[in-house]
Amino acid sequence: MSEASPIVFIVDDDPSMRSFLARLINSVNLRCETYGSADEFLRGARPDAPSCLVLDVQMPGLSGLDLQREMTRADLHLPIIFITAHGDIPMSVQAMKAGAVEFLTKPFRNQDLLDAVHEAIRRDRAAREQRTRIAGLRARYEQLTPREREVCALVIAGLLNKQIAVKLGTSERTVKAHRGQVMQKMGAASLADLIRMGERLGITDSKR
Amino acid sequence: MRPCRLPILAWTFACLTTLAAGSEETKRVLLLHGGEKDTPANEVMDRIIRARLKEGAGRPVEIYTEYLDVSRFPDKKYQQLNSHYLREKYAGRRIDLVVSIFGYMVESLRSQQEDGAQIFPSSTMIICGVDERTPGHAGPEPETAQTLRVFVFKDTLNAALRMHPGARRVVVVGGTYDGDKSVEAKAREELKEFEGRVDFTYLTNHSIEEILGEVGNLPPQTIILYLQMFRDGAGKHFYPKDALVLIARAANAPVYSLSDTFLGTGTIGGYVYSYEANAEKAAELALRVLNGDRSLQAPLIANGVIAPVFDWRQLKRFGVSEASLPPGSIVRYREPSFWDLYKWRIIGAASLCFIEALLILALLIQRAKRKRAEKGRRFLAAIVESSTDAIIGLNLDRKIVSWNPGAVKLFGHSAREAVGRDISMLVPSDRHREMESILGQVRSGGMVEQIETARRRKDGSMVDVSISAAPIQNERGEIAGAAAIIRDITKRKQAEEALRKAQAELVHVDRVAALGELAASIAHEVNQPLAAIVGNADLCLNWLASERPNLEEAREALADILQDGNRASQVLARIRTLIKKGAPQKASLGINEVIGEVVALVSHEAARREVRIETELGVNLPPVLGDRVQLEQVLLNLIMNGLDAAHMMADSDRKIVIRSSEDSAGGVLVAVQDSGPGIEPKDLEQIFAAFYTTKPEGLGMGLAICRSIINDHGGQLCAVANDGRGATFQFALPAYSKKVA
Repeated sequence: MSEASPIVFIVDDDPSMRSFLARLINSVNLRCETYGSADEFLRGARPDAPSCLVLDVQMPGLSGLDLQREMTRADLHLPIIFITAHGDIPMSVQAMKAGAVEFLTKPFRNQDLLDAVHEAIRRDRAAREQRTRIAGLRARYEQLTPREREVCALVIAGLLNKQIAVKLGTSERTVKAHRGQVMQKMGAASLADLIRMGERLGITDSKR
Repeated sequence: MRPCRLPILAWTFACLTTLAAGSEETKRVLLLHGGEKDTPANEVMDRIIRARLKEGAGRPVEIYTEYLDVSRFPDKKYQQLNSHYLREKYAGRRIDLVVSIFGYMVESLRSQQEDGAQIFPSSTMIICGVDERTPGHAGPEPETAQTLRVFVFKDTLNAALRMHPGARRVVVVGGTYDGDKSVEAKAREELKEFEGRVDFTYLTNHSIEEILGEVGNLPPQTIILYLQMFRDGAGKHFYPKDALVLIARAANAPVYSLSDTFLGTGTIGGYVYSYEANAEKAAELALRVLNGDRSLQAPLIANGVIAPVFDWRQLKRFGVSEASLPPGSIVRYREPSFWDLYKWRIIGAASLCFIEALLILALLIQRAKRKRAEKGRRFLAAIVESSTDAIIGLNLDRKIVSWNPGAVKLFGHSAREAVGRDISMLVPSDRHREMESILGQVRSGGMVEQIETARRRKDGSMVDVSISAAPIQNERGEIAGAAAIIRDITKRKQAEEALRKAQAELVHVDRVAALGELAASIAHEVNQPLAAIVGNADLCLNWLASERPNLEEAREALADILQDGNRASQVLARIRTLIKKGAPQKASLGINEVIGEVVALVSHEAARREVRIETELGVNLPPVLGDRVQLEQVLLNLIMNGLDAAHMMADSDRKIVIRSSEDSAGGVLVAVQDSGPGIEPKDLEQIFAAFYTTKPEGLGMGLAICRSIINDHGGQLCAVANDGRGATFQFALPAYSKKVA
């Protein structure tokens, strides 16, 4: 699948800063979108492309950190590079804990920001791929019958067929058949493969 | 025969005379005195009767006088000789009226002489001063009028006993002559009723020596009653008055007597018979006879006149109070008192003394006043001398007339150098007009109070002084000069300058502190363009370093750099204005520009604190006269306070509204309204006090300084609670018009 060109979102209340940041991003042939406030950004459309957010911490209205919180709540995954005029350590710790890629203090070296932007885009691209993969797994998992899901979960949990049969109150043979279905439907090459998938999907034996 | 013929001849002669004189017939009157000319009673009666007859007869009256001296010649023989003598003497004259004084010769005149004729055949007779009970004299007879002599011993003694309440003894003194005896007899009879109350001693047969001896040694509580004494027990003849003189002089007791002629001789007085009154009566009767009153054909008796009369000197001598005298008493010989005698001189002298005393008193008072004034003057002089202020006296010619040590100290001129010189020597050349104004005011009677100016010392240096001046008036109330009090106010000026500096310092500190609060946002505001500049510059370097320089991009970046550089510079300029120290400079300002500047300065801070700043600025507002920096400081303080207040509120609608408008007085009203928690009404004034603060890091000077700045601009700063929530701080400034300036 052909990937859309990466895009950098810039949110800064200061027009000079916005203009400069846009110029800087453009200089490395990256697309960018600029916003004067967090609200404006939230309302704006976000193209489906690897992207990152360059975010000013101090802004009237919703601050940069507020926006980060808001995005986490909205399950909006976008790597964030914070820039601030006078950052302090607690602020940067909070930001990094919440998943920020970088925390830069103005004035910063252009290259530092660009490095951060590239890293962020890389991370986003990876995350996007990950999300795509999980989505595929989920689609396959959705195809399993309820009985197969039960068996799948118990297999991932490391139970032997006999044990599963006892647990489900069925025959070992039947379990083996279900297991075969699961392996096939999920496209798992091996038990280890299935277990990895289960981990990614977060499948656990809820009944245990 | 001869005697017989004589009356006829006399009558014929009388008729002839009558015919000759017509109606103006001359009347002949004989005054026949029994006594002697020197006898006081005779003298009085003679004088009065004679005078009355001459005045009142209305026709010529011839008066003949005979003194028979019968008291000294009492024998019968002598009486007969007298009869004879009179008849012979007046045989040829018709006597119309005989006035027998004391009744002598009455019997002889009445009775037929041996030859059967009367002595004065055709005459009427008036018997004058006859004792009413004198035997033989009392009987009324035709052609006779009598005036009676009355002695009232009883009344006299009664009065005497009242006047001497303790009197126990009465000594009655009398003589041995017939008349004396008849009076004594009457006295004895009348005084009988007093026996038992007082003891009577009669000295009526004693020689004068015995009497004088007696009356000189009388015991106390004795009074003497003198009757009369023509002859003493030794046969020595007296006029009764002369005897009384001797007795009264010798007596150690008061001597009462019975006749007014005795008064003045040493007697105290008594109910006295008045010979004068008797004589008047006799004269009156005589005139009636002479004028042909026929009523005298019948007997006519005129009573004697008795009155209580006393000698003032004797009353005094015997200590008799006038209050004890009988009612209606007459007091004679009242010695005029010193007062009576010298009344006017006394009044004069007393007045003189009084006036003199007044004069002396006035002089004393004046002296005391002068002393006090002198003391006051000395005191004042001491004050003037000891004053540390210069106290200078001037005359109207502006010449210095007095120069106290304070002046010496202040100006350096000694009194000798200064006195007589023109006051302008103290006045710097640029202050002459001011000096003229002060002098003019004082000349017109006005006061000048504490004019602050400068004067020149002897060494030419200037000294800051405060001058008060007042006119000096002379005795006539005219303005004669001026007094000036000149105080060295250098120290005060210095203190004021120091205070002013300290205040300016404080204002500046407040301003810097307010900016300090803004430091974070200011740093941010400067950092923002700086960061852009740094970034853009970096980009430019890269572009320019590449093999194919992107000049277009670089130009754009550079343009942004320029813009951002200017922007940062503006922020810093704004701050620099507020930070810099300097004397206030007032100029015409548009208040909206000032508001705009401050809003720009705080906008970032407001945003940071999530407080909106709204402005509602009036249009066409008049300019105000003010110091831009100080007014910005006020607004900055008010807005920062508003931010603090609004920030305290949790809600999202945190805002400050800044309004400007024209007020009713034509000035400019600026209000900063916040949406904070507001101010308690009780704190609305308190918040302007120095060091009042609700902020933990605040100094509490902000609002106090704001208020002083606004006051200095002629305005007022106050706080009001909003209708809704929050508070509004507002100030009004007067409009600035060039005309005023």
